[in-house]
Amino acid sequence: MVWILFIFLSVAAVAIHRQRRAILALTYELGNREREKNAVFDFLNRTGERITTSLDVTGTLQLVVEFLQDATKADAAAIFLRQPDEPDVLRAPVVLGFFPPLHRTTTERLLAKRKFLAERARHDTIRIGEGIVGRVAELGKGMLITDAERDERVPREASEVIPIKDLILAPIKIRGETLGVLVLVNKREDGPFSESDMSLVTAIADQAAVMLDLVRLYDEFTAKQRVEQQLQVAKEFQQMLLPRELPRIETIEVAGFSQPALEVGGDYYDFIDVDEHHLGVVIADVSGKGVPGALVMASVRASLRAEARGNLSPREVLRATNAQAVKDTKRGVFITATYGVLDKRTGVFRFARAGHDPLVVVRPEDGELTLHEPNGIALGLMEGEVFDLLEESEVSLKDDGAIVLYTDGVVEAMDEQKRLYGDARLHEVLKNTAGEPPQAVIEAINLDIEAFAGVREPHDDITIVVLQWRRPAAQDAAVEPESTGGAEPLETPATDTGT
Amino acid sequence: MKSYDLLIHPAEDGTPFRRVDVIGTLDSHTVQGFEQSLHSLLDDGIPRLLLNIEQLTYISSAGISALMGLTHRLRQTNGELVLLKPTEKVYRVFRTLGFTNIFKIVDSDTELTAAFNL
Repeated sequence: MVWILFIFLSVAAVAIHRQRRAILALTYELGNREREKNAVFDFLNRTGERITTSLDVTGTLQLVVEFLQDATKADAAAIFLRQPDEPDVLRAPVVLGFFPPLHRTTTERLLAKRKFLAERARHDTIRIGEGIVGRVAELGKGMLITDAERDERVPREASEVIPIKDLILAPIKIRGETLGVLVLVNKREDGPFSESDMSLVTAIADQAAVMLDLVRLYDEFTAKQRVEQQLQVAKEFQQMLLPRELPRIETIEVAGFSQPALEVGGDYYDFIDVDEHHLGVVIADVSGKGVPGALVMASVRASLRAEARGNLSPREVLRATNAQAVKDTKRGVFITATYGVLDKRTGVFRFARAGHDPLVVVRPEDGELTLHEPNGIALGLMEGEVFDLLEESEVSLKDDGAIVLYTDGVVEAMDEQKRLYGDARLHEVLKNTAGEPPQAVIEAINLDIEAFAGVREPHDDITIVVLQWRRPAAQDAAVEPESTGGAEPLETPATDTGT
Repeated sequence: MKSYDLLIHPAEDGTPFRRVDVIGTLDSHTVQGFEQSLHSLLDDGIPRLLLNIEQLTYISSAGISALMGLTHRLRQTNGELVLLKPTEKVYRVFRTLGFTNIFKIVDSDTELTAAFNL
């Protein structure tokens, strides 16, 4: 009997010892966890005050996600955040581990390989309400899913590549607004995820929300400041570079107009004295905006001015300008331009088009329009044979009609429904103002754009140049049709919306 | 319809190029994702890329820059970018900008072999 008791006691002792060790280990673990949690809290608190740009934020989020992955022993973890410019879309700046696809997209087929998954999760966008992540963002409520295989909320097709066993999704929420979602997938050991894992994730998510909110406010503030500053500098700069006065030519009437947009682009126009009898006319549009756009514009303007003097070939001038632009501009920045040389004695305009909108000729008698679009690519992209495809073309102000040059800000002006002003409507105005003085044509276009888009700052620069042969007898010859309604249906060469 | 989407077709045996469908609009809002996805695809050493732009409804100058970037990158390694079936509107943008001189543009799958110089 005694030995039985002895055995019993020993077993009990061992059991108790084990239990105690387990409890100790657990306490230790809990202590550890608590300490780590506090450390992360502290960290988030401190960084919230210190972090000033969204660039710093990604680093911090990386640490947060790493911590959570480690603390909950998750196979994979990610943080999805609403995009400031697209608030109905979530994107994952941090993805760790083999993160399974949690919503269906058309890109599914790509993903036979695991190594693409993190990549995909990082680039994919999830709409609010779409898939399980999108739903958590929409509802602002977390989910703890312990048996993913049987849970309807978990997408089936996702599990083909990486089986999902269990999941934690916690919204990152502040003042009732969800900024993003923290997701942990597949507990490695002692699974599935527990309520205590869930509460840890939730607590960290709340803290992260505070930090993100601060950063967002700061970002908005500095962005506004920055934009305003840039805007002011660029606007002044751009205005400085526009012709202060129009050339006075006995035979030709000239008008130009340029209105920078809210986010300043790099439109400009210029008149250059090529020689005694020739006037260079250029209109250009830089693809970049803000200060960089204005700087590119300035450098193009300078090199074009330098090349233009004494050179009667617009093609050669644009070639030389392009060579300089290729050197000066960053890859991907390009400039569209039309440059021509106007013979003040004959009214012949010889021009080349570097990827710019078509040149429109308006016949004063009946408003018939002709579009000229000789071959040529935009400046700043390529030198050599591709650029040399640039063609020269000729129009006579005297015989063909007035020349209208414009930038795409005109035809891409938008109304509130984001519909484009379009070529057709511009052509209509040009027909109806045929024969009128250049300044009046420009005013008519501006009024019509205003009627279409409403009175507001355009989203792109608007620039227009009009050249017209001065008819000595224009006033009494009554060529100016008051209402051009009688003009026959004007054929417009096949042209649709511009760039 | 989604305002923007990319469909990256899996590499197929015997097909010497990767095919990607570009859907919706390519402008300053969507171009970043587009560039990231395609450049990470090119990181795998893909020499020939076919962009099916049949469903590309709008392209801004930012989108054009991105296509230029891809062209440059592929040509550095003797690769090639081919654009398949642009809509009339998108084609017009290319033509106005003179990019029909730079980009290889085809209207049917049967022209691909020639376009890629295969």
